[in-house]
Formats: sequence, structure tokens, C-alpha cells
Amino acid sequence: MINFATEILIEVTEKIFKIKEELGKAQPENIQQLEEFRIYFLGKKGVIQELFTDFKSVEPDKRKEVGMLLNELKKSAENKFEELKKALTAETHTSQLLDLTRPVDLINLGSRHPLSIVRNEIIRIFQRVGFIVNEGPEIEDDWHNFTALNFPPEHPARDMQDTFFIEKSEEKGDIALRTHTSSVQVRIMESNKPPIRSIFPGRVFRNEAISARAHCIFHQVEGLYIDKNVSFADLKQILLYFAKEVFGANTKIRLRPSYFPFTEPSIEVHIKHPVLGWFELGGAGIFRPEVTEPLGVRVPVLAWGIGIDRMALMALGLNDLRELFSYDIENVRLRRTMMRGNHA
Amino acid sequence: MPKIDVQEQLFFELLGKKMSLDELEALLPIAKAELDEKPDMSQKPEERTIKIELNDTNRPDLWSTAGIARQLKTYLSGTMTGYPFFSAEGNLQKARYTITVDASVKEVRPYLTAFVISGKPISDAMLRDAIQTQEKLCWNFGRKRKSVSMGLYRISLISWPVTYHAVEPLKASFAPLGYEKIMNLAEILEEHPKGKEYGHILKGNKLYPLLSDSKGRILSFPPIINSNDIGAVQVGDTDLLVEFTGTDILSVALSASIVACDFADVGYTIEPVEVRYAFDTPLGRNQVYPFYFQLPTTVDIARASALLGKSISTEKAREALARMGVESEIHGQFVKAWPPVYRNDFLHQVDLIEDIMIGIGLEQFEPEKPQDFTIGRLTPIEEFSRLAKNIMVGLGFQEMIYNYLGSRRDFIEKMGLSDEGVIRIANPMTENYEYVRPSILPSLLQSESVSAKAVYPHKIFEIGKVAFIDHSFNTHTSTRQRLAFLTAHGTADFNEAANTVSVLAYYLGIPYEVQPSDDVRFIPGRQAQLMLNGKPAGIFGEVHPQVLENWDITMPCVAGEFDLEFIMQERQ
Repeated sequence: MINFATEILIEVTEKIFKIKEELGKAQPENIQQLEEFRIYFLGKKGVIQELFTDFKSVEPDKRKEVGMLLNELKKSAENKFEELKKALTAETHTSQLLDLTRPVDLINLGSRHPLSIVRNEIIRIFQRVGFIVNEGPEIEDDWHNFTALNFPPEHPARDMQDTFFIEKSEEKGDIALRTHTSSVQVRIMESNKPPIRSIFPGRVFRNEAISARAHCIFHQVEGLYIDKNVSFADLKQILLYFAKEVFGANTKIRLRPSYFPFTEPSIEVHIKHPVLGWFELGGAGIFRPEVTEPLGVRVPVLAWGIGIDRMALMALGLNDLRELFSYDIENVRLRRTMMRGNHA
Repeated sequence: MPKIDVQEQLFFELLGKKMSLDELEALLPIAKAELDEKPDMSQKPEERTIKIELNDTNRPDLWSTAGIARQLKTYLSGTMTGYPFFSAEGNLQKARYTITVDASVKEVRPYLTAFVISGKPISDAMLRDAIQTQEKLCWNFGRKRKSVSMGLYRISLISWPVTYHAVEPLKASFAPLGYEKIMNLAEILEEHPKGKEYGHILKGNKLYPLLSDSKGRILSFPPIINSNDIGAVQVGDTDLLVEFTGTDILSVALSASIVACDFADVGYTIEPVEVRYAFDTPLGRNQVYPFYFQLPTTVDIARASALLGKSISTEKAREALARMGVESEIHGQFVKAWPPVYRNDFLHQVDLIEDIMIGIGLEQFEPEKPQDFTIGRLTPIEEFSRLAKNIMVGLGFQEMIYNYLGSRRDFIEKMGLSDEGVIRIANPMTENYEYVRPSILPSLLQSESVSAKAVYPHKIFEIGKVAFIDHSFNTHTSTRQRLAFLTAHGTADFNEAANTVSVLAYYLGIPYEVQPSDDVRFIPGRQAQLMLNGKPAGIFGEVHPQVLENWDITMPCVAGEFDLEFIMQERQ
């Protein structure tokens, strides 16, 4: 005999299975249909809430079993709603609301300083053809900066107006901030045996008023090529190779007679920049035997010095040397260096 | 590098042909010269000047209109100008004029050379050029009149012979050029502009040099100033005495040779002057100037070919030298060369090899590919610094590069440090560049102080050098490669700095420890020393508010600075 309580139980159970089936079939395709879905299943007057009202009539000893079914149903309805909501709203964003031309947020990335990039690129060009990199002190004694390089005691370059001397507590000869990286050439010859192929990038100092075209600090890359049979023709080759690597295969160079106390012959190297025309790259020459022989070197010593600040300015499209030492963080981090090879 | 004004009209007259400025510009390099400024075409032709820069400090013969024209003309024609008025060893010219040099000048300014120009009145262009020569020659070659100075005088007012002697400063008086007032030598040094400018040359001497004639009239007070009568040369004067005094006889003799050639080129007659010394000089006691004192140099053409990387015949070398004005003779594989009378820059055969190179033309030498093999390599500190830079960049830091020179205010005072061990420049141009930086931190703080408008956070670093006084080195200083960083934003704190240090140390491969420190630049208790193998390698922490205030920084900053060379050494 089926009593009232049993009937209720069957009715509730059947309803649960029926709604479960409906829930499985429901497939809202847009936000409106999803809202209808929510009202129908999960609304305050929805079918599941109605079942909870019926549930109060279920006999206490059966409540546990039915309650579990009912909770399971509610949970799956809620889950399905959340999933559908996620899918449908995401779809809406990508397909309808995005402004593709919105202003973007600035992302600050760490980057290398332009001078550092240019310097490394120059090193790389020489390193590739067998040059080793060396360094020397920026604060030099008189011997390495002047005397060994054949600057006589009264040479204008030694003038207080051109060179920064450092203040010492005791007097032991003049110590200066080096005025050229040629001082390193002397040190290399003192301590190495030929063949030597070496470059030394470094900072040099001149006691000059600072302007767009002159600075009291600048950067040079000095080179040495020492071997039994090297000649002016080899020097020309290296300078041409360098120019082509930096400015492209069609680059031309022009050599002009020049004068340095420590080289003879001495030349100036001019490069034809594809846009800016001829500019002076640096100086070069063959060391005077009077300079190299006391250092124990009896074979030809080819040498050159290239100023890299102007090349860095060109790579940045700037023309004021002071910009290279800018303190302004925004200014530095927004710069791009147009250099072949790049960020080595 | 001297820059000279070349009198345009005179220059092209002397060159013997007219050419465009572009043609001139292309030709100038053979004289190691550059066109510095084109003439102002609004001026009259006889007033126009071309500015030319000369690069060879050993070629003072080029520092005048006539000098540069002479070199270019010789190069174009391959023929040399003769100067028959020169005396040489064993072949002295007869001299109409005599100057005696008294023993009293020996300790002050011992040497004197001279000659006379005559034949036509001095023109405006030539006088301007002579004054320029006086300036350039005596300033650059004569070391600001110290080793050579020059004077011109009107012969019509001179009673011969002239005497060069030294007197007590108060014992001689005359009116110096530009002044009516008679002054003694001490007053001239105190009052006359040239006395103030060049007086230091005579400092410490009890006697001052003086040039006077047989009637005791004063020609000049070398190397300071001429007299206002005999020494006041004007356009239209004929017959001038040109005299040089100095401390190095070869420079003094060469200067006379150069200026004599300049006047001879323009058509003046050069008359020799005999100089009678009361003491021995490297060029003899009695000598007639202008005097050819230079000795020949021999160049091995096989050596020249090897050094220039091109096979050169002796005949070709001789021709090339002729284009440079150098006379030579072939002896087998050697060429013996005599410097022109106006040059004294052949110290070694390489000097002739350079002239051969220029005479042939630099474009004639073909580049040669190297035959040998070497391996390119970086220095260990360069490799290690690049590794550190890449880590910092990966952490989002911007690399900065700063000036190493700065002010006491920035490097010392704003950091709250003492100046002990900090390198000071003995001759700073301004107080803004008076010290060599002892630390990178002031540079980073200066960046932060000028970058308040840049979008935050700020993360910057530099890998660069710092230096200190250190008497254990022969340069009295030691220089170290350091890494320093700074982070600035509203919530920058010690933990953030510690994280940066930790990541850096991990990728540099260095196990480290930290220990409390008490550096005044950082907040007490919020700073630490980085320790490697029990030794300090640097410091990091929250920058002290007082330091930030000194730099006008309102944003919290954390920073650190480490000795990269030390870290590299400890890591191995």
C-alpha cells in the first residue's frame, strides 16, 4: 500500500530526475537566454527552489537520501550557469568590445646604454678578426701618457690647459688623467711579445670646455697590430675592414697625412657616411722606431685610435655630445640604437 | 694645432696659378693642412683671407702665406726654389751688418740670429703676414716665446753694430711699443700688457736681455716688447732688421731661415747678418745667418717599400721627395736626402719614408689582407661585467653611463662623506669637474634627482670605474671596476634591494653572506654589507633620508654598490 508519504517521495524523486534531464539539455546561446536559464533553474521561484518546498514534506528518515540528490542537482545547475556565463561573457569581450587603438601602457624594460652597445659592436668587429681586448689605467703616469710616446717636456699637449693633473700629497712626477688610450699601447708593448693584435677601448680626458662638439671626457678604441712583415697596406686594410663592417659594404675611406709625435708616417682616417658624408674617424700610423725600440719591439707597429662618441651619436641620430652622458632616466631608457649587429 | 690666415691674393700669386677653393681643399692634405674657413667674398680681393689649420707641429715653415704656397707649388711642379743667400759650413756669405752677443746673456737667453730684408717697401699684406708669423712661430714652435721670440726693426734708425746683452732691470729705460712713457725694464714687466703676459719667462733672473745699437738706443727688450721708435715698423718701411732670440739655437736658427725664405719668396732681398758670440754655441762662435745647419739623412728604399707595403724604386722615391721639396741622391738601394733650408724635421729615416708616401700619394697604396692567424678574446673583467650587465638588464634595470668627474658638492658633501682618499684635479677648469668619483652612487642619485617626471618605478645601474688615492701604486691611485644600482618608487625598501642582490649573486655564481653595517649614506638597521668568503664586497640598503634631501629627492630609494673586480677574483 502506498501511503501519502511514499507518494510525495516518489513525486519529488521523479521531479529531481526530470529537472536533471532538462538541465542537461538546456543550451543557452547568449546572455538573455542564460538569464532565462538562471530564472528557470536557480531563481527564487525556480524549479529547484520549488523542490526544496516539496522536500519539507518528505519523511525525516528519507530526507538524507533525497537531500543529497537535491543538493547535487542544485550544485550542477550552479556550475553549469557559471561555466556558461564565463564562456558567453568572454566571447562577448573578444568579439565586440575591444578598442584596438587604445593608448598602451608604458612597459619599462631594462636595456643597455647606447654607448655600451656601440662600444661592444666595435669590439666585436675587431674580435672577429683575431684581436684581443686589453685595458689600461685611466689615471696614468707621465711616462706612459707622454714621455714614452715621444712628447717632449714642453710639448703643447702637456700644457696644464689641455691635461687634467691630479693633486698628490707627495711630489713624485706628474700623474694625469690619460689624454689618449695610446698610453695603453706603451703598456702592451712593454709586457707582450709580437705578434700582437690588440684593441683597448677606454675613456680619456681633456681639460676642455664642454659644449655640443667637445667634452672633457670621451671614448676611444685604440688598436695595435704588431708583426714582422706588417706595413702601411695592412693598416689601410684594417681601417677599410672596420669602416665597411660599421657602415656597410660600399663604404669608402680616405686617408690624409697627419702628425702625431709617436707615429711616422701618421694619417687621419676619414669615412664616407652614407647620409652624413665625410667625417673624421680617427688617427693612425706606424710607431716611430725611437718609441718602440726602447720597449724591445723591433718590428713594425701599426696603431690607430678611433673616437666612438661621434659614432654613438650617429647611431642615435643625435648631434650633441652632452647627450651621451645624460642623467635623465626617461631620456636614456627611451633611446634606440640603430647599429648593425646590435646589442652584442 | 695652429690656424693661420692666408692672404688670398698673395697666396695665389705665390702659387703661380689660380684654383678654386675646392681644388685647394683637395690639395691641402699634402701639407697636413685643412681648409678651416672660406674667405669672406664681400671683402676686397686684397683683404680676403683663407683660414687654414696646420696639423704638423714640426713644420713651422708652413705657418705663413708664403710657406704654405711654397709647399703646394713644389708639390705641383716637382721643382724646388733655391735660396742662394744662405750660408753653410765652409761657405759663409759676406755680411754688411754685425750683431755682437755679450757673455751676460748666456744664463738668461743665450742665442740670437738675424737677417735684413731690403729691396722694396713692406706691403700691408706682408706686414700682416709677418706679424702673424711672429705670433704663430713664437707661440707654437717657440713655446710661447720661451724658446723663440722675434722682432722687426727699422734699419734707418739703427747705428751699427748692434749689441745683445743683459742688464739690471732698473738700469735701462725706454718707451715700449704703443707707449710714449719711458719705463725701466721692471716697470715694463709690471705695466705693459706684453710684460704681464710674458714676464714669467724672465722670472728669477737678476739681469734682463736687451738689444741696443752702438749709440745705446734700445731696439727691444726680448722676448717682451720692442721699442716705440726703432721697433715700430709700419707699412712702407724699407730695409728691416729681423731678429730672433731664444734658448735653443737650432729653433732660433730655423726660425730665421723660415722667415727669410718667406720674404725672399715675395721678392725681397735677404741680406745676411754676422752674429759674434762671446761664448761657444752649438753652431759656432761667429756665424752668418740665415745659416743652413741641417744634416742629410739616408733612407733605405728596401725598408721604405717594406714599411709602406708597396715596391718603390729609388728613382720613384727621389721624385716623390722632390715633390715634397727635398733634394736627394741615389746610392744603390739608398737615397741620401738633404732637408730643405726651412725644415728640420728629419730625425730618422721614417720621417723621409713619410715624405715619400705623401709624395707618391696615399691613394696609391693598395690594402692588403692579413696572412697570419690570431684568436680574438675579451678580458676576464670585460666578460664578467657583460654577464653582470645582462643580469641587471634582465631584472629590468636601465644601464646608465656617467661622467667620472664631478664637484665636491656632489661627490662628497651631498653624500655626507669626508674627502679622505678622494682624488682632486690639480688644475680643474671649473668646480663642476674638480674631483674623480670615489663611488657610483652620487651619479645614480643625481639621475634620480633630475628624473622625478619619468614614469616610476626607476631602476638604473652603472658598471664603471671609481678611483682613490693609493700611494702604493706608482700612479698614486687605484682604479676599480664597480657595479652600482638604484631603485626608486613609493614602496622601495630593504627587501627589494636584498632581492636584487640575491638574484644578481645567484646568476653571478657567488655564495654570499650579509652582515650589519653603519654607512652614513644608508638608514641605520636597513643596510647590509655583502660578504664573500668573509671579506666585504660592497654595501646595499635604503638610502638615508638626509642624503635624499641633499639631492632634493622625495621618492624612497634603495641602492647598492659592489666591487666587481673583487667579486670576480673571489669567485674563481
